[in-house]
Formats: sequence, C-alpha cells, structure tokens
Amino acid sequence: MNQVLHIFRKDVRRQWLEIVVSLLLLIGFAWKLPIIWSPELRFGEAQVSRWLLAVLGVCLCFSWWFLIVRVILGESLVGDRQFWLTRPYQRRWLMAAKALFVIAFVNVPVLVFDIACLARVGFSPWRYLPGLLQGQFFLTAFLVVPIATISVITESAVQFLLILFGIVAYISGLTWVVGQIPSSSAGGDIPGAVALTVAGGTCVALLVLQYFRRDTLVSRWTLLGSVCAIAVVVTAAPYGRLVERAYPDLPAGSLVSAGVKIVRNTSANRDDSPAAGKTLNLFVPIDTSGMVQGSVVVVEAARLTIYAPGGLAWNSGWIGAGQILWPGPSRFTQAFDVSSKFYSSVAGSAVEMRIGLAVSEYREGTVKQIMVTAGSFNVTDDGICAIGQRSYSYAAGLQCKSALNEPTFAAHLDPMSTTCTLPDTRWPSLQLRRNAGDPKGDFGGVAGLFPVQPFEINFGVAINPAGDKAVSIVCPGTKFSIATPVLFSRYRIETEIQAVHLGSYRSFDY
Amino acid sequence: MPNAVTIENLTKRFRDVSALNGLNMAIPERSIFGLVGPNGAGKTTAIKIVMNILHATSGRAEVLSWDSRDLVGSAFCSIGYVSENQKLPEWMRVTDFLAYVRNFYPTWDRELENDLVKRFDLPAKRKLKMLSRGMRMKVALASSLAYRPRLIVMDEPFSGLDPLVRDELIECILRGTGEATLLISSHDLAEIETFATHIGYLEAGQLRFSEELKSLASRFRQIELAVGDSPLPHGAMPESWLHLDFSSSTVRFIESRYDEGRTPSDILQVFGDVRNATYAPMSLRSIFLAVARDTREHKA
Repeated sequence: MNQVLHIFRKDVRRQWLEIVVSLLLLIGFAWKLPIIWSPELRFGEAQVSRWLLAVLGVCLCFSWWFLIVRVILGESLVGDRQFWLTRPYQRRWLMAAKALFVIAFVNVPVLVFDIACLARVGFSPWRYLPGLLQGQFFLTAFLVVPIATISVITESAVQFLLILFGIVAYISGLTWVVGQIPSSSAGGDIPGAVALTVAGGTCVALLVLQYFRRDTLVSRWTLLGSVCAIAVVVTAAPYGRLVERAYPDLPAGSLVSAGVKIVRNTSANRDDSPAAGKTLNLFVPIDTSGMVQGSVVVVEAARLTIYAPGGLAWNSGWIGAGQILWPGPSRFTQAFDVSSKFYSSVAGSAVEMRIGLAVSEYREGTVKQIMVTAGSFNVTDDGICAIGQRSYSYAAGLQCKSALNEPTFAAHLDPMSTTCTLPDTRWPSLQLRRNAGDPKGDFGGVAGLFPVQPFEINFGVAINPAGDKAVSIVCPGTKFSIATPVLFSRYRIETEIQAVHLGSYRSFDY
Repeated sequence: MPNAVTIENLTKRFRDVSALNGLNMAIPERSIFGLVGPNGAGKTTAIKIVMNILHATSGRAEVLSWDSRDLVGSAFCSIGYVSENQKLPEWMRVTDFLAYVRNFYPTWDRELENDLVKRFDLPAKRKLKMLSRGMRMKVALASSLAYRPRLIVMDEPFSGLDPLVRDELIECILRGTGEATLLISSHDLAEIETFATHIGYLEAGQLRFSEELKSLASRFRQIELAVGDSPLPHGAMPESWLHLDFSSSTVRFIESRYDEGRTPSDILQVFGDVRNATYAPMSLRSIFLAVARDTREHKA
C-alpha cells in the first residue's frame, strides 16, 4: 500500500500542471453548463455560450485522455528499456496507483461536479447517489478503460495515437459495412450488446494481462482477435430474424390495438421517371386508428415488401422508424430507400405493397394531476418545471429540469381548463393537447458531464379562429395530467395494398 | 563456489532471427564476470532475459536462486541493473530520483547514497534530462549501489563514454560493489581486462568460452617461430593453433591451449627443429580478435 501512495505522489508531482488544467476546464464547464438549462437566453448569446460549452467539454475530455495516457506511460508496460522494470515495483500496487490517480483526478472531480450541479438546481444529491455511481461506472467503462487499455499496449504517445486512429477507422469501416446489411438499423440490439461485452471483456483482460504478465505480444493478438470476433458478430448477425423474434407476430384472433392501413395515393402526383442514383425514396403514408385510450404506440421499425407482376419482388429489410402514435385516428409517413434498378423494372406496373411494422405498445400508468404554479414546481419525482419565458417566440411551454435522466411520461392538457386569459373564449379548441415527447425513456446522458437534463413540456398555443393570433395556454393555476407509460407488449403488424404505382409515392405528402 | 547466475539452454528468437542458440553459462558468486562478444552476439538479449525484461523462447535462467521468470517486485531488492540505454524519468532532479527509488528498498543505505553522490560528483539539483550520458550512467549506478545488492548487472556501461569518465566509472564500480557479484557486458575489452575476474565470450548466441581471466590469459600465446628456409610443416597441426601465417623463414600463429611442456613438443613435431621460438602473452583484446576472426574463417 505504501508503494501505491509513493507512485501516486510521484505521478501527481509529474503531472500537476495537467491536473490543474483539467480541473480548471471542469470548473469552466460547470460555470457555463447552466446555459443549456436556460432556454430563455437571447439567440445570439445562447449560441456563443453553447459553442463555448462545447469547446470546454471537448477540451475537458481531451485533458482526461491526456492525464490517463501520460500517467500510464509514466511506467510504460511496453518496451524493454524502462528503469522501473528492474526495480522492486509490485505490479498490483503499480496498477492500483494508476487507478488511484484516475479516480482522484477524473472520477472524483466529475462526481463532485455532478453533486454540485444537482444541488444548484435543487435536487438532493444523496437521493441520486445510486444514479451518480452508475454514471461513474459509465464514465469509467466508456472513457477511462478504453483509453487505459490502449495505453497499456503502447510504448509512446505516437503509438497510442496510431492505435487510436486504427480503432476509429475500424469502427467507422465496420459501421459502414453494417449499415449496408438489411435490417441492421433495427435489429442491432443483441449484436451490439454482444460486441460491447466482448470489447469490455477484452479491455479488462488486457489491463490485467499487461499489469500482471506484461506480455505485449499476447495482448496485441488478443486485441486483434476480439476486434475480428466483434466484426464477425456484427456482420454475420441475422438482423431480420432478431427483429422478428423481438416483435412476434400477433396470434390469430388477438385484439390489435393499433389498426394500420396504407393510404392509396392518387395518381395525380405520379412520377414514373427513372431515378438518378442507386436508390430512390418512397414516402408511404400510413393511417392508424383504433388504439386503446391511454395507450401509446411507438413504431420501432418498418419493412416494405413490393411484389410486382412476373414474380418480381423487393424487400427493404427492417429499418428504424420511431413514430409515436396516440389514440385517435392519425397518419404518419414512412420513408423507404428502394433500389433504382428494381424501381425502373416495375415503374409502369401496378404492384402490391406490403408493410410490416414492429411496434412497442405502452399503457399509461397511474395518472397524476399537476397544477402549474408561479415559479418552480415538481412535475414528477425527478422533474422540476417552471413556465418558460421565450423572448423570441410566442409559445411559452414548461421549461423543466430533471436529475440524471429525462423522465418518461405522457402529459395531457384539456385546453378548456386553461387559466390563461384569452382575448376570445372561442380560442382554445376542445382537442386534448399532448406533450410531444418520446414516452420510451432512458435517453440522454446519465450522470457525467450532464447530470441535469433540461426538457420541455409543450402543449402548443391557442390560436384565434382567423389563425393570425396565438396565446399560451399554460398559466399559473392551469391543470394537466401526467402518467408514466409502462411497456405493455411488443408485436408486429402488417398491412398491404394492391394495385398501386410506385411513382405515386415518390413525393412527400405533408 | 555457488553460482549467482545459471543459464541453461537459453534460446531466444525474434521472428526469423535467432538471438540466442542454446546458451549455457554460469556466473560464480562474488565474481566480476565480463561478458564480451561482437555486435549482435546476444549479450544484451541474454542479460534482458536474465533480468526478466524479455521472455526466452526456451531454456531457463536462475538468478540468486530465483527462476528469472519469477523475477519481479521484491526480488529486485537484491539486484541492481544498469544499462547504457535505460530510460530514466528525465523530468526528475537527481535528488528526487534517488529519493523516489530509495522508498522501494528496505536495505537502502543513506550514508552510502550520500557517499556515492559525493564520489560521483553528481549535481543534486539538476534534472536527469540535463545530464551528460556519463553523468546519467553514474546516477543509475548510484541508485543501483545504494541498497547494497548481491548482484549487479551492467549492460554496456562504458559505451559512448570518454576515457576519463570511463576510468571514473570503473573506479566507482570497484569501490562500490563490495562483495556483490558483478555481471558486466562490454565491448571495451581493455577496461574489462583491468578488473574482471571471469570472462565469457559470446558469439552468434552461443558461448565460445567462459573462464577465469587468469587461466584465459595463461592459455593464449602469440607464437613466432624462426624455421629456416623451409617453413612447411612435417605433420598435422593441432586444432588449437589459430591464424597460421607462413613467411619465408618465419611462422606465426596463436596457440589457444598453451602449455609450457606440451606446446614446444607440438612445435617440434610439426616443424622439426626451429632456430628460435618466442611465446608472447596476449591482451584480452588480442584474444577476442583472434577468436572472432577464427570463427569468421570457419564460417567462410
């Protein structure tokens, strides 16, 4: 243990300037961060501050990289000329000393920063301690460990950069290759999780292997092996089958909450001219109806299959979608990239289109009534809101902040219950207003550089019958309801349309 | 005498290049062992395997009763290692460096450290990166002597040093090592000769010979014979005669197994009666060159 502190003290003495720079950058970032919580700023001022914040954030990340790389290369594990190799260093204490350094000057400052940010907004940091620790885990897993892993198999900063560029090129290349595989954009959850597990396992294995056995050749071969394994996993995965497995066909006779129907476009806009590129866009409008009240359906992925006369067929594979469907009739348009070659061969013919949708159906949980007050008020357990004051817009939604994650909820407001003074009582329509947020949740940054998530609840505005005046419908005393959606079911639904011309779907119908 | 270092069948390959080919060597305790050999002979590779800096392809080495592969951590409390191209923490000042390494050694002798700093005339406040090559070697040496190791391994310590610094360094080594075993690899045969007790000659990854310097010096002789008009040999020449050179009435060669009684009778057998014979002792450098040239001739 004595060695841990001894090596740690030496590293601090060596890197004190970098430590100071890193801490100053974090302080600067903390100073500028509230700008993203305050959308009331004037446009120009906000842009400059956001730009400065982004620059500080990037510099901060680079300063951490620099700290980690330098501290590990201080006792480089690669090479045969380092003085420390023939000194009585206990390898486990050396590893512990480096870990202590990273914890002291990367993890702890970020934790303190997170706590300070939460406290500043009005959240009790202790309540969010598990989330903060989870944030530390992610910071370590996605920043510290990968950088440390490359550092333990390289001898110098130049070697580090070369391997880093190699890995970036590999990831870019692999992403491009996977992007060419049908259904990969929708069915990548399992292969992605496997790839992450392999990558994480490899990183930990290399750190242990290098610190305890210092066998760089074996370590580099291990890295190459895992890189190949990840490439095989993500390129050979049966993405289409994974989507179909995650979203099973509804059994015959099931009650389908979302009724979908492809809209038959008129031939007035038909365009049968040949496509210029390798692919062309088809925009297929889909009507939905029959959803159960209190449910929200998210279209996760869509697949278009086209059957043409003469046995010709084409399939888009599953592509990511993301539309949110609420109860009541509605329409959305799904775009598909169709092969130009196939399009040319069937352009003049009447074809059959079949669209499959992989959907997640959520049901709203316990409904909670919220009353808007002047100043700040709690919306969910983790959200604090206030009426927004936008100087450049007439819309005044609720500007909110949440701790760690953006809360997931569906919010509804009956415009008739507004307490805002409207010039004309006929203004608010009777239609229920919903917040346009995504009910799926789990987005955004957990603790780390963004421990406080700003979000908006916007119910729109009341517009006068002439359509030339608008007034906010959220004022102190206005009531609205929120409910947290709970996943109810995942399934696939399919709809088809006969005898249509693809040329009728080439332009986007707003 | 027990051995401080024992090497058995050590082989090291770097891809297609074989640096060591079944090296066997023993270094007696309390000896000053000079490991010599031409460039690329495998001296540094052998030392790095002994120090567990490199891993052998096959074979093993034992260092102060430790298997060299287990040589980590506290095992280095009894071993000092100094190399010509060792990377030191150049950002440290001399005193900082000594203070830093001091903490790793329970047997560190502060008085000896101060003595070494004084004797080596080390500039305490200067950063290591500002020191000359010779000074840096002295710092490395001081930091490897102050804990009184049982074995000191030095890889080419005199390389690139001017003669004055070299002499100083040798003096420091001799005064500072005490009872320790010293393994020193070097091209600088003239210096090695002045203080080594044992010599090992390594070539092409194999040990050509390893023995006490005294016995080595006594078995090599530069021989010159005045043989009259016809220097042609009458019989087969012993294998221990190297680099035979015939001129009109003189024969010169090197006897690598000189024996006061046997060598003159061998000469008599080969050349008959000789008018005059001189038996000159050889320097280590001459022996080294003779052996190296002989190996090359055999290869050719």
